[in-house]
Amino acid sequence: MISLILAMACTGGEYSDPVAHQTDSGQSIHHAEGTLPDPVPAATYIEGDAQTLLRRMSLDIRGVLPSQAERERVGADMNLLNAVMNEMVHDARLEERLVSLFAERWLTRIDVFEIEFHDYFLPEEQEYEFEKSVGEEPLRLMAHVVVEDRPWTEIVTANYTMANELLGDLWPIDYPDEGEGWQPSVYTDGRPGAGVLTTNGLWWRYVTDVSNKNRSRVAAINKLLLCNDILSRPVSFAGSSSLVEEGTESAINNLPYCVSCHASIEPIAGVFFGFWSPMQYTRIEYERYHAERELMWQDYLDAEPAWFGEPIEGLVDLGRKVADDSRFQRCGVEQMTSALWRRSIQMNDWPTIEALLEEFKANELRMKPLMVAIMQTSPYRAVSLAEDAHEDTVESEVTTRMMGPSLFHQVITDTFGYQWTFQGADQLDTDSSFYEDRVGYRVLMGGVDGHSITTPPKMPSLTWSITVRRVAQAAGIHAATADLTTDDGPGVLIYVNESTEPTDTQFNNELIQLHERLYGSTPDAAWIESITELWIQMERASNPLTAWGGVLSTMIRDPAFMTY
Amino acid sequence: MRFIHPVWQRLVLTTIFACGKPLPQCMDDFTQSHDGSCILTTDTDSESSGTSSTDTGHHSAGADAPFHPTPDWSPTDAIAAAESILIDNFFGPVALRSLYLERMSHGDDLCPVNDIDMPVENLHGCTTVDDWWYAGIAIYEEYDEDSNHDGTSNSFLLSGDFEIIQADGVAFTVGGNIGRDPIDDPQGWSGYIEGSWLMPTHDAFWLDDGISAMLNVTTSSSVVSMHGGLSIGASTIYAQTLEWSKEGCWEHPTGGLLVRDPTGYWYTLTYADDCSGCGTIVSSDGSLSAEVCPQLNTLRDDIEADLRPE
Repeated sequence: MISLILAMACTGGEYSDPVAHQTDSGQSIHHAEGTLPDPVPAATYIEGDAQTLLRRMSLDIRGVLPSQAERERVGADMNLLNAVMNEMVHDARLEERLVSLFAERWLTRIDVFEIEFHDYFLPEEQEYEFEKSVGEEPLRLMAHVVVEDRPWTEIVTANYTMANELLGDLWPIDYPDEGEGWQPSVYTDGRPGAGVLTTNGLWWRYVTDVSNKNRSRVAAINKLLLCNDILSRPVSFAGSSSLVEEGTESAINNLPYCVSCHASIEPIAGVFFGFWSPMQYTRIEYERYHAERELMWQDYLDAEPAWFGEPIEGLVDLGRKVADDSRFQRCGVEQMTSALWRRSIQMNDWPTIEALLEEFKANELRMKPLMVAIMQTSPYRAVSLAEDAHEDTVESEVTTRMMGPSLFHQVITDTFGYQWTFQGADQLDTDSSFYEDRVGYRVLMGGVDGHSITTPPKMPSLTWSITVRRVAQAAGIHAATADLTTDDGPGVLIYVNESTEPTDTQFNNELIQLHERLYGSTPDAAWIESITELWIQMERASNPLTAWGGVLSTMIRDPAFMTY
Repeated sequence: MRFIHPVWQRLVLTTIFACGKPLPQCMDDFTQSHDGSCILTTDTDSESSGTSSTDTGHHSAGADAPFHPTPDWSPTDAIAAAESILIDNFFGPVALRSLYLERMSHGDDLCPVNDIDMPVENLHGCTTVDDWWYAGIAIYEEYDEDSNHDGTSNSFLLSGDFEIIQADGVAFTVGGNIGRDPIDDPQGWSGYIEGSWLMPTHDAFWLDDGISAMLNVTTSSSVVSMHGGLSIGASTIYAQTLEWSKEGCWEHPTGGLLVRDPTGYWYTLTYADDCSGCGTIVSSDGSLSAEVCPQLNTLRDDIEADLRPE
């Protein structure tokens, strides 16, 4: 093998790239081959141009379209793109995006917890705020660690949480007196400091009960922190008759089929009894940590606390053990890579993940440098695959990203100044209310509700299309009305007014700037002609304001806007 | 871009540079491999073109390092904390029942319907004519054969998730279970306190600071015992089969008593078998230890007084 590499690298004459070549359109192609046997054939990526990638990065990292200044600054220069990319990860809007990205994996943004807003006697108008606040607590903590450029290990070692005013009021939390919004805060109920592992938000989502004894929580942290999905392991029922005879608890400790998993589960489950309650659905029990129950593993599990064989003191030590586990670091890389690639990690990604892990370690486990590195990988930059790509590869890769509800909401709000809310709830960020008199559209638009839908779809659906249509209609007319009839509109329409005619230069300029701003590319003549014709027909049927609203609505619904 | 394993990466790079051929450029932080693809390098300190991934300059792990707890108390601090909870303050399941029934007695015909239970219809709360607020669910059961379901039965269970707020705003907040049951011994009773029981301003220290517990207590003709966890406010203990036995040690208990300090570390007192009431208390990391003799004999009497029917 070594001689082969030497031979390949030292052949004389012109440099010959054995796998990278140019397409007819001048785009570069790279093969991503692993050193392991590939169950799925290697992908051949066709990377996007600078403007396409600028738009993609801006949406992924900041949740907004790139500004005109950024588009002009980057032009077609990939090096300038990289400079802008490096600035983006320090943008304050990163935090909000991270919360959305983490929510897709951590699944804490559910609509119904075992403790509800009415348990605190909050008014119905605060239901959404309550559920959003609870579910975002661990996500905000992780996002804070990233935004502050702290080592990723801090998500399991921090002696603080993140809280907003509502959580500061409801829970035993010392929220800063002059604080506004999400702030680092400290629980005052004696719980140890172990980052997300000691947040109410995480354990209100991953509940347990009297018989489960925290085992479900062990499965959750295995999956979330180690990328080790215990529930995906095959289960043998060969010993099921013994299970009936011996009883579940005995079988767990004695039957080989059970012991293989439970030998590591029980010692970790034992450390979570401070969050365990003898009664479910009990507010005062759920909101507080119960230090006196930390030793209940002695009576309930018959397994001393340990982290995969290493004895631990309890929850107070757990965070450090997790942080020191090499699987935690790798899992952090896999999670962030998966979030930005918009697909799961596969076997033939292994060399890439390995290299990214080295980068992660070299940068003291900080996520921002890792995100920059991920955005330089071919799977991130791909806009299509080579024509001869294997169908399995086509199936697994995501070269065209679809805006999900949270990103769509952010972009629509930022660009068009429109927010779709009902009874105080963001309609693209929720699905239902406790009293079921309000219906949200999060799942219908391809979102994750944390319970029934746990993975965002790769392809648009009928309901996605319908939801986009309704939002587009509302956002389009909202922006057009505000821009053409007031002085404080969102600034989507910048050249025209209500008397501008298609024959005016400003009309054409408006269409060009809209195309560049919303799609990240310059329109061709055919597009200008067709959208102008659309405007004319709508103006004849109604008026210029409606026509511009229709143009904006149509542009929002276009795949060029809804994908990136 | 293409990535390969770092071992291969180093080998390939070494090989390429040895050949000394000009290669197409990659972005910063990436190095050209033999096949022209760009390999991520771990040397990311360059900031020359603005593409460095480490240009923040505000990595501050050392300045505000993550929390690493260490034992915070001395062994005598720990024992003092345990004594403050356990001496002359025991508020057992029967006392809690009395408090519950007294609070319920302020209800009226419509709120919360009866003076023993709070039905589910009361989940969102009701207010009496005297301005007492009752909200939640409470189930009270009695098991004596001659029970009148009036709060006087020796065997009982109260399971609730409720809040009762008297007219002046003092709240009795509960999420848990209490009960008393007979055991095999003719004079024996076992009781339990589970969950959270809180009533600020109550004369009893436990209620005032708030009880959080998974605690079992028993009394019989020859033994009194306590087992389980108990937090009163910020003070936490765990009784490990703490036992007074007339056939063994009656003046002082045997068994173990664990105390938790505010950082989360536990101290373990193991009583000697000589009935002296003394033992060695050791911090969980073994770094601190002391011989101590906590005076808990009033606790034995308090448990008996609460559990034994009049």
